[in-house]
Amino acid sequence: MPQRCNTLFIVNKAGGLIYTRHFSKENQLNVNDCLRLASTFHSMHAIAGRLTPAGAPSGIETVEADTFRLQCFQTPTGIKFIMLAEPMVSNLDNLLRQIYSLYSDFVLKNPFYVS
Amino acid sequence: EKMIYCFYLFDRNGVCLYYEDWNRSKKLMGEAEEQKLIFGLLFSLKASVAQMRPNAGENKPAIEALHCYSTSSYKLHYFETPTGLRFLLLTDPGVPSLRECLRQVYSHIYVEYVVKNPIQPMGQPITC
Repeated sequence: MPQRCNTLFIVNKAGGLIYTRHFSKENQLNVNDCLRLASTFHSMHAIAGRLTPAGAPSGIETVEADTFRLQCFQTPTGIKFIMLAEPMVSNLDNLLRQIYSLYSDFVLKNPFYVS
Repeated sequence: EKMIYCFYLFDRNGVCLYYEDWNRSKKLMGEAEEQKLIFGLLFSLKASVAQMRPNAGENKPAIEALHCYSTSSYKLHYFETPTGLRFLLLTDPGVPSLRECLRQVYSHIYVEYVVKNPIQPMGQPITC
């Protein structure tokens, strides 16, 4: 994982946070804050999809801020992979797709995994 | 082909002072409901963004945090003034950041023609 990525969240179809991983030492949000943030983002993703002025409704894919960048990849099954990274990082979409591929291989195919 | 869809101007109380649209092909709900929804979305998004910032960004003002967000069908550019005025622009996703453009709209159009207009009441939709 490149040093310029900060955090990964995986949110399930209902909006609950199922996985968090921090890659940098700074700004470690506590667990409650992460849960709240992920659920709020889930709702905002849905509302932004409803507000579309043209084209097919789709949720938030990227958020650009001054000190970070957020990329979200939503799978057809409703799982969201959200990555917070530094603003100059590109190609996060591909990275999130690879993470999805790893998730489907190691998590979903694990017979002991209960979703 | 680069497209611009709509423009919103909200004051700090959530009153939509100005709305304009061009080339808009989808209107999924009434105008008032949509304005409330978009104001609410940006209010929450701004708060979440302020919380997600890395520690280095803590001392910077929260209004400078959110620049824009994109979906696969549109991109929303956001500019907020220190007085709480929110300028929003919805465009095609391929457009680079139009924040500077919104800043120009504020300083050259809003300040010149609205703020300096003695008969324009503050906090109400702009009619001039």
